[in-house]
Amino acid sequence: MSNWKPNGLSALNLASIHIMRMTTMLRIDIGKRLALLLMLVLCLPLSTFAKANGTHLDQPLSNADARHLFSRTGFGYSLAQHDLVKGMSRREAIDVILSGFRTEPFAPMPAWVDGDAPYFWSLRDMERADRVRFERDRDLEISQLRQWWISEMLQTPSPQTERLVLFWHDLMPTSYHGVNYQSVAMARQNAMFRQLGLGRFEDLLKAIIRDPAMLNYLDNENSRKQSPNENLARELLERFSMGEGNYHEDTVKEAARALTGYGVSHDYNLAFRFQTWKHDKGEKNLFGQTGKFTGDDLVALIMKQDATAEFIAGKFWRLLVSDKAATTKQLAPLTAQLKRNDYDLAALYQSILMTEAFWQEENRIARVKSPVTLQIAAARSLEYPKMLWQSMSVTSASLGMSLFAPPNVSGWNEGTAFTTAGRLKQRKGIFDNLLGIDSSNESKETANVMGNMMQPMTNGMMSDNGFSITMAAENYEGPANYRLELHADSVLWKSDEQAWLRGHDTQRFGRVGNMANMPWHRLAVTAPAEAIKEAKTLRVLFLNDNAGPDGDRNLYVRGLELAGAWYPASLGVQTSRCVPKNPANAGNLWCNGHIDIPIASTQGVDEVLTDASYQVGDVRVRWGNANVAKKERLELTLESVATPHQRYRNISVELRHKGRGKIDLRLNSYSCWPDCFSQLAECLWRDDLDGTTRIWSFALRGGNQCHYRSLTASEQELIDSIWMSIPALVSHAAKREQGKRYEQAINRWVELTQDNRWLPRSVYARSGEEFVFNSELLKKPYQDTTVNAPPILLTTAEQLHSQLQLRNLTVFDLVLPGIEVNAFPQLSSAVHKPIAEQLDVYSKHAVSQLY
Amino acid sequence: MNRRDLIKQLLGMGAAGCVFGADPLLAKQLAANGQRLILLELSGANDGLNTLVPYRNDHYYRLRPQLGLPESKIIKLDDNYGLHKNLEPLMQLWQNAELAWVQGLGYPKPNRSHFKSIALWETGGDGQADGENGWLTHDIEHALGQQLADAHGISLVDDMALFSSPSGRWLSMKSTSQLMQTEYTPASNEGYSNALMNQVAQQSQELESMLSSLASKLDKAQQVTRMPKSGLGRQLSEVIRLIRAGLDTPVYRVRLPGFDTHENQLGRHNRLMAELAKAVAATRKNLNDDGEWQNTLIMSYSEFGRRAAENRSGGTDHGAAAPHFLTGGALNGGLYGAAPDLSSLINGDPAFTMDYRSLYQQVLSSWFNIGENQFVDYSDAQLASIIS
Repeated sequence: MSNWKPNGLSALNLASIHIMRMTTMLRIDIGKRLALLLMLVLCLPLSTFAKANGTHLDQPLSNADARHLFSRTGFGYSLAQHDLVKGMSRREAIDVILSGFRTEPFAPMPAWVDGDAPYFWSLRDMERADRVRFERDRDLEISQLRQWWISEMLQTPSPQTERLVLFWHDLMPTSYHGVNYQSVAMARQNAMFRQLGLGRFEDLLKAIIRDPAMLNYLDNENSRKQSPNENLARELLERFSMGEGNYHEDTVKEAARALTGYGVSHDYNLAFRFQTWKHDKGEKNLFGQTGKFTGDDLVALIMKQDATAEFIAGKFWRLLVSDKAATTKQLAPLTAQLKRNDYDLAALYQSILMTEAFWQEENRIARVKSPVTLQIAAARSLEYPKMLWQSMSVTSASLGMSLFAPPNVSGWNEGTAFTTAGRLKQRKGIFDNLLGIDSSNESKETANVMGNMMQPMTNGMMSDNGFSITMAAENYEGPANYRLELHADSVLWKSDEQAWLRGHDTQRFGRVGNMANMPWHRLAVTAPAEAIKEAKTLRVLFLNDNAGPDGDRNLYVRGLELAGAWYPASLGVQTSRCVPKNPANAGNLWCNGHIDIPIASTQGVDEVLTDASYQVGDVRVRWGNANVAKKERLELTLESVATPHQRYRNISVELRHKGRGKIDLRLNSYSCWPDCFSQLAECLWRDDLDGTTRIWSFALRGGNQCHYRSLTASEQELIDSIWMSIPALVSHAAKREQGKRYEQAINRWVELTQDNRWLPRSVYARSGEEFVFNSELLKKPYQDTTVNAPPILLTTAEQLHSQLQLRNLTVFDLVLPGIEVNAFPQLSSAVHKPIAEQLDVYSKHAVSQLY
Repeated sequence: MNRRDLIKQLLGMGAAGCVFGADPLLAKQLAANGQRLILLELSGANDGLNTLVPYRNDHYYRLRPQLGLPESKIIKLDDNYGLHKNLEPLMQLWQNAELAWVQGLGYPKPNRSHFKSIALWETGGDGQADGENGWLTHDIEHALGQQLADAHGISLVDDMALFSSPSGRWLSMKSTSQLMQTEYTPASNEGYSNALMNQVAQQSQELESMLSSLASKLDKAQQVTRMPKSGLGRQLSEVIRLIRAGLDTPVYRVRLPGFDTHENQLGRHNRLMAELAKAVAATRKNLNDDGEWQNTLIMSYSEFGRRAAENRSGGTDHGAAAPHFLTGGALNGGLYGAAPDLSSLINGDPAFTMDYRSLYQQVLSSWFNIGENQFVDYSDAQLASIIS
């Protein structure tokens, strides 16, 4: 597979590549790999990098150099970074950047990311209210993920990692709005970019053609040999690896064939699955070669094309050096290096930082800050704007950059597209607000309140006289006023009327529009312990609705956390003039009124298990056909299965009728989550193309008993129980399916399975214990794991000012790009003025938009 | 030359160069005529079959036993087609030959996702290749130049996908008063400077001059009365106000949401049709009185049509091809294109009979006089005379 050719490599590079590969195999994280590589590079000064670059790297790192290096690789330049690199040379500072990359997030991702994926298949046949509740939960997850990422960008010691992940998210974009609510797939893609973003490019491309979010977004899930879908193939060539014009249109068609069958298993926790029955196994002609190519072969061939090295080097160049495209001459040594060292992206990154071009003055103000960079850089440099962290994903979206939702497959229009006349006004408003130089009273008031509620909140720290409530608001001519009340049979406690000062100003910035973009904030509330103990509901009242042609004032309640338990507003009852049509949207207070959220404790799932040992939450038809002689098939999914030995998120089974009571029950390697079977017997059918799929078949009459005998005793019991329950499962599933797509098929299967003389006489009857339906198993209330605030060390510009004075610095030493303040007379004449005035001059200067 | 090559060639002039180097003759023509296009998005996917109804078609009633509109609930346009009865306010336009319906619009390999398909309609893509920028941004900027317009386009809807462009003056606003609310001082560019800094400073100057021009023009414009108070009515009042103010802006964009009628469609669709027709008819009345109707073209679009057969919840699911309407003083009204054959559906959907980009090409070439536009390959003779 690898075409690694060591010709022309110095012994050193051979050795270092070798170490990279060894360590890759050993799964040492990327930071350590780089450290090893760097040690080698540093110990032997005859490295190719040192040869290619002059002595500019041994110069001491000036303050302007440091600002340039840190703001290009990360977000702005902070006091901590200033203290860290003091006295270093440029070369040493580059080492700091490269050795600081992380492959895991610094702030853990929300808990649901590591959990089991929701039952996305159930969207097909859900009742409307359930569907809206399901979708709303996913929207809340993505809003949480956005806040998590903002928080991560603000607090990570490795901003270079976040910039790199953002770069990949933009280069290989996937939007939450185009993946059928699969928030978890979006989160996992982000984790994948972290893992592979600075490894070998080939590995990343192989991962992206397996990425469930991407496969969904670019419709490859439906690509089959009879009708290949060209979307993924086209984007892979055009935007991810080679660039338009560097391949023939026919290559797209052939590449699409190679990618057929690259899909996702919903049953297997939304994981990649090579669905070989959809794959076109014929010969394809790619880049002048012919073979029975798969997606991996396609990627391997792409790596051999000259355009690929030039493409990815050019993209990294733009990331690190300039919005202006690199010249062929500038790219030549980089592309040569890429081809030599198997597309090692870390080496590419390092080499670009080591070029003279990177440090040249003409490239020090050469990029437009994206909305995310604009805000995160200001917050990391000045520290106190971090107080507005919970709003940053929303403000970023209104400036044209909604995280996890790039506008289309070309990602965000970077560069001066972010500063078009249409966007610049809002951008200035948001930037000033962040810097605290906004003239409006409301934002000053907000800043004060934010300053006062600085104590960070963590889950479960509530004492018995407090709870926390998560809300958001849209402001119009001022903020929303609300009151909280605890109720049992009577009112136990009332808060004062208060203003929610963290709302989104609809007059200046427009409506939020999408619930997934709401600026949710969590507020700690103190109430008498006695009242909390006796309360049955929490009532949230919205008191001052207002609206006009240019805005709207609304209050949104998401839920409350009390004694470690989460009570979502979507289970509450809303009373107001405009109650949302769907009860699951309770909590959206668009008019004056209130919502009552029940807080009576609910029992946990484990307590409600009955004595029955085999239980199932629900069963659904996934696919079925009828009246096709000898080819009748039905696929059922058992949701939330409990046995005496194991809990399963889901078990999917396929029934095949071969006539006259001959029915097979089939499962494959992707049927159960977690896995049902532990042994891989020789007699199982094995898919040679994907290498992992096995099929187990359990016949009701006759058939090969080898599959059954290969199971452990408890696995046999599971199959016994499923078999013995088939008539009940089928008729249960049939009830929901009436009036729906597979009605005819399931009704036929009811006939086939109800009247079965064979089952009681079968091997499965020995121990088969029938499943009992227990819908309690399905109850998995939406968990609000509110993202924790980043630590915020300074809360006012004045506090920052004194920190700067200690170091004999001005604010310009942090916020400017890598050009000295003296170059800007307006700024340098303000250095002795109060910090607020300095920031005011800065924000009015075009340089504040660039870096 | 295939389409991509052509686009490449058109774009090849260089992103900045083509914008500033506008064709002066074309620009003058455009500015002098003051032609404007109001794009009306029927968001959620309008049910075309129940909008322009094939009331003589047995297949239609067979596919829609509950939802099929009987002859009593339509207004006949000819011997085969009729409008939903709540579109009655548009009948005066039809009689004046100011209303045209183009049938069977769609694109190859239809996508059934709202998000993806509306993105295709707004960027000129199809099921095989996405578009990148708004479908008319490049051509409008090129024809008009940066300096000649108050704004190239104004959206009364937040989302800017239709107007996404690396350059140009494409604005979104909730209302004119929101936009004018606070002052804007252009960014300083004093001291050290380079090309990028100059460009950002220039964008900032442009914004300032655009805002002050808007402000002085809007000061003189009267408030718009006689418009329905519906959401669409309000958006269109803002458009009329901007037109009255004498704004030099060729494209406006408004949206009527709520068309995703999976359940209990009849009542909801009735209300939407009424809101649509009342707002459009009132716009026509206002602009006609102002003498601006001759220069105005309103065109609807939507992500896709709906499934031909009704579902079991009294609604319709995501489909493919659908008809859309155009109206304006300079239009040759009537029925254009061919209705999809309901007896041979593809995956339950009517097959498209005309690529929607043929309509885009016609609007760009006949309405804006941009003959050399990115959709020239889609030119369709059936539409040649739709705009007089």
